[in-house]
Amino acid sequence: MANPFDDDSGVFRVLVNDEGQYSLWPDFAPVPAGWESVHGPDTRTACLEHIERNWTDMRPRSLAEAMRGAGD
Amino acid sequence: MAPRPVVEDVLPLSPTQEGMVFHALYDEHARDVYTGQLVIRLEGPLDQGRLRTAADALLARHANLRAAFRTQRSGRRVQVIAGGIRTPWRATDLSGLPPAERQTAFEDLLDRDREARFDLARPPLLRVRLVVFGDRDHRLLISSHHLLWDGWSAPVLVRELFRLYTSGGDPAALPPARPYRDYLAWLSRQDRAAAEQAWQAALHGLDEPSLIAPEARDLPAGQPGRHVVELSERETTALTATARANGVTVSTVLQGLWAVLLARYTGRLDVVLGATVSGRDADVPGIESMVGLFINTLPVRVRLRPDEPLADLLRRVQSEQAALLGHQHLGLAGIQRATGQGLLFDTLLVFESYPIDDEGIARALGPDGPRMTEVSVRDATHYPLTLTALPGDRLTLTFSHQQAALDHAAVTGIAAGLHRLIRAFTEEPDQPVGRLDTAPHDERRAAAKGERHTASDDGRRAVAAGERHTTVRDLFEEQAAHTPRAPAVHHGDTTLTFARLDAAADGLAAALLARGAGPESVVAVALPRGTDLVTALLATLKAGAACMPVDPSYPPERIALMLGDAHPRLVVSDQETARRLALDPESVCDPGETAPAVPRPPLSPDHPAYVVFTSGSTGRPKGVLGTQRALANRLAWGRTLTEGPPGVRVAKSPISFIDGLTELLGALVAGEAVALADDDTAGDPTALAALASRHRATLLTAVPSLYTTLVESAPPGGFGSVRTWISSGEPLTTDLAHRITARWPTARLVNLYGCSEAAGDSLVHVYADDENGVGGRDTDPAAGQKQTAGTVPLGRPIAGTRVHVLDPFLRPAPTGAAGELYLAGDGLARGYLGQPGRTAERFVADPFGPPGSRLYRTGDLARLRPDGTVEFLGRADQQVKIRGFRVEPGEIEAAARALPGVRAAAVVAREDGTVPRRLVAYVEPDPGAGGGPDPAGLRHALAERLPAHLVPAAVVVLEALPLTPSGKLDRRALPAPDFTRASTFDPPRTEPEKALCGLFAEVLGVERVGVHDDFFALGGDSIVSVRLADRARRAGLALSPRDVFTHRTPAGLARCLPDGAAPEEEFSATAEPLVSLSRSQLDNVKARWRSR
Repeated sequence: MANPFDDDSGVFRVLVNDEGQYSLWPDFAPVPAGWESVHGPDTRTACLEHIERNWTDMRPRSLAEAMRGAGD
Repeated sequence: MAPRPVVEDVLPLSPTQEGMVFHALYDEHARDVYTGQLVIRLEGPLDQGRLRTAADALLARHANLRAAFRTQRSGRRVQVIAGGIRTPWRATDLSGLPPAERQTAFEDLLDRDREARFDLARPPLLRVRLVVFGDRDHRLLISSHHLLWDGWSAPVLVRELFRLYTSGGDPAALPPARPYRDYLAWLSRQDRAAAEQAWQAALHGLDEPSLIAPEARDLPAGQPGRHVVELSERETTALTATARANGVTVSTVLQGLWAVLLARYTGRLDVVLGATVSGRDADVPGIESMVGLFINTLPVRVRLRPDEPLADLLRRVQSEQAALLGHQHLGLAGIQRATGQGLLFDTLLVFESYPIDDEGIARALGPDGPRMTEVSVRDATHYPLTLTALPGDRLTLTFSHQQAALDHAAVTGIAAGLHRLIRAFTEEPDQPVGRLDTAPHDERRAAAKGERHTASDDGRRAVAAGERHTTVRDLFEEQAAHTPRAPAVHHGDTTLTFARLDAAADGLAAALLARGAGPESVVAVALPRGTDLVTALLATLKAGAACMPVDPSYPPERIALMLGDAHPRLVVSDQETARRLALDPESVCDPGETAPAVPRPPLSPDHPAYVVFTSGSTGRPKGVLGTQRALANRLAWGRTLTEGPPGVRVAKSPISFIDGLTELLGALVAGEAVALADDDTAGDPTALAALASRHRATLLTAVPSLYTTLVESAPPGGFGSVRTWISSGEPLTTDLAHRITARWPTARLVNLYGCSEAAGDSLVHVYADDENGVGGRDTDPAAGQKQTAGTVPLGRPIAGTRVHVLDPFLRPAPTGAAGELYLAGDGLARGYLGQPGRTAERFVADPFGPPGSRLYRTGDLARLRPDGTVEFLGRADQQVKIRGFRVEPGEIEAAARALPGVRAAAVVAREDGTVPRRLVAYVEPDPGAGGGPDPAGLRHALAERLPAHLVPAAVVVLEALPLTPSGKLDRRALPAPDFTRASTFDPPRTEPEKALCGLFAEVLGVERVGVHDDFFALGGDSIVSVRLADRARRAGLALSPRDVFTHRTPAGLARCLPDGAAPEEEFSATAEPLVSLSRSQLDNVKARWRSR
């Protein structure tokens, strides 16, 4: 079974949603609502590297903000 | 009386004839699909005698129409040309019937005629029948075996027949026929080696056939169904023009679009379809007017790329096909032999482009003869689906299908899909393949709304009830307040009520909070199974931290790895365990610690509730960080698993897995008591039955491999109190499901499907005894899946959950077609601990859910029934399940490669004979290391690093791992492990030893066993030990599975037998303490026992 996310030679994007969550995304498919492309089109490896570099806090953004608010 | 036939010639068979003879002889009692019928309507004056003479002359003219097909003693098949035979002729007069009934009578006659098989040994393989409708209205029926001629030949034959009619049978009316023999001679001169090379290159790296009806292989061929789509003139013109503008033929367009459709239906991007080519090579002079079987059915391999523009794909297909043009003569069987491939495809595309000389045919009958006013051909293929395209002003697409394999609705759907693709091609030929419009609009809308896949009504109610509880502690505390005096935990002789448990957990939670634990921190719990474990898990959740259950029997090295990844703020552990695991004393919290109550920090449903590690394909386990929302949703829904008054749920799954958590907490939030099973009890049917009986257990969860044992070996009357059986972890076969419900007819059987990434369970199916499972699939035994009679569906989504089966283009797969299973909804975890990249490739943007939501891709293959029920079809990757445990062979391979002296390693799950599925590691030694590695030593080394369920049953050292021509691991070439090499073959000395040696050999599937042979060295495991103990008990030898673990050899077991005969049934679980075992040996024994 071929999964487009596993295609090492495919062309990908990096998507981010309002909660700051990241998704690898094959370039051929339309970007789903609520997601924005922040990197690509690029190779799979480069996209994953981008995600590793930038997704440093895996908490949903609204939760992180609420926790910051509570901590003030 | 016809004269006796004489042999005129003996000829070889063409490759296509070889294939067809095979199908004709495959089942000589079934109908032969290659019996074809040609019906011609003749209006006007007709001379019957003259027509019969013409038919005889036609047979005399073409030697190959007089062929019989025989197998020589050498096994070689030949066609023997008979001389001196006439065309079998019959006349039927229907003119006496009322006109309205004639057509029906004729149809009946056609049906009966088609059922009459030709005997391949008795020439000719054709017969003619003239049917009289009236004086000036006749039907001429020519029935023949497809071995004799192809579609192209038919108009040639008809024209010749009519010429011979007008000439009164005089052969001189026609130029001499070019014999089929010339073609066979041409075939024999072709460069076979070059053709073999070309096809090897064309199919290089292809690893699977493309089957649209994978379960149809053994279905008998029946009367084919038919569905016809006719394009409008405008559509046809647009198709032809767009094809021309892009430099491809219409035939190529259809092949390319068919490949796209196949991808959607098979879930594969590397697909193969069959295409019939004329086979009339221009090198053979006069071949266009020859009569005979020239066509070839050839594989067309198409490698799709979702981002490639469609027109580019089509041009690529056309040039790839052009490169094979000179090599078509090899034939399908020759190609299969040359490339080592078996079945390649089950769909066939026939583009009928042969010339039909209508005028010539009309002229042939002469001005005074009858007129041919209708002609129809009835033929079929053995393929489940054949698409015949007939060009013309309006392109006609005829879908002919084996009805047992594909029903009419499925074929209509496929046809509509192709029609839409044709339109998409003419409208925008350059759009990427992955964006082509193949699904009907209503289907897409439904998928977008999740309509096809929403939860059942039960689930919806549970969602409504669960919405108030978005954290696990809320669920539990509400329950504890509601039934404070009800029993909550039974363990051994101890029982805790909800109030006691709640209070104890509050005390420990306060201690945890005081030491810095809370929301967004992780607290590990490393405790043996007991009431403290339950208290500690609840305390962690009460503190708002994520609990990370750690099985203390895991190798310390492994536990250190997990703790290093998760950085728990604290580890709740007792002194002994903490010492053994060398935990940092600073981080250890005793389960008895308490502190004054403090206000708890607020807890969001988005905070994590659990950390659970699963096998990781890259060699490290990965930690799943699951949310409060996810776990609370699963637990709240889980209340619906109990029908009627509260009962007792057995908790026996290993605690470091998500099922261990949901089983235990699920009972508590449902107001039911947990009967906590010890490790020894978990896999022993007798002990488990004793536990269930003692606590009147009403609900029990097990994996199918344990159910097999329970059904076989549970004591009579055992588990009588169980009202609900839950199966999870592995595919449940319908056969096993039937045996479970037959043994316990008053209990219901529920199949759950899920994974750690979605709080354990996402789909549910309540088994009904009369249902049919997912059809049997035969797969490679070395891949770990053996032929199963069918499996119980995974079912429908639980509360708050959506499910999608998607094709390789990320669109909903057609109903009934294989695709990959994706989950969405409340159950989704936050991701993998500290692994953003891995999280972003598995938890991906959801095109069908609310904006910004995510999908988890499971890697499981599945298909949807029309009612939204999901059926399991296998794995998309290498992951396997062993006794319900999720195992990534890659992780074990990495561990093996890290051992000294090992260069390469491959791990597979095998099922050899009757021995249950087990892991086998194949190791290629490092040539520089000197001296081959010792298999037993390697296995021991792996056992020190990996948890028991990941330790291979055997390590096999091979000089080199076998590879396929394309360089992949050749799983089929991996030998079964030879356990006899571990055998001493010391013969038995006493009767019990003799009996035990025999039983060892029987359950382990080895030829003979010596008295000092070790059960585990011979490949035994917990499941097999239960089987051994069971058979021994039946043979009058009182042994428990635990004895097998302790004593291990026939000699040792014989020594431990009590004097005298074994009691009929041993219903007591607790054996004596294992004084002879060290603590670590004991842990090892327990670890082996784990069976979920």
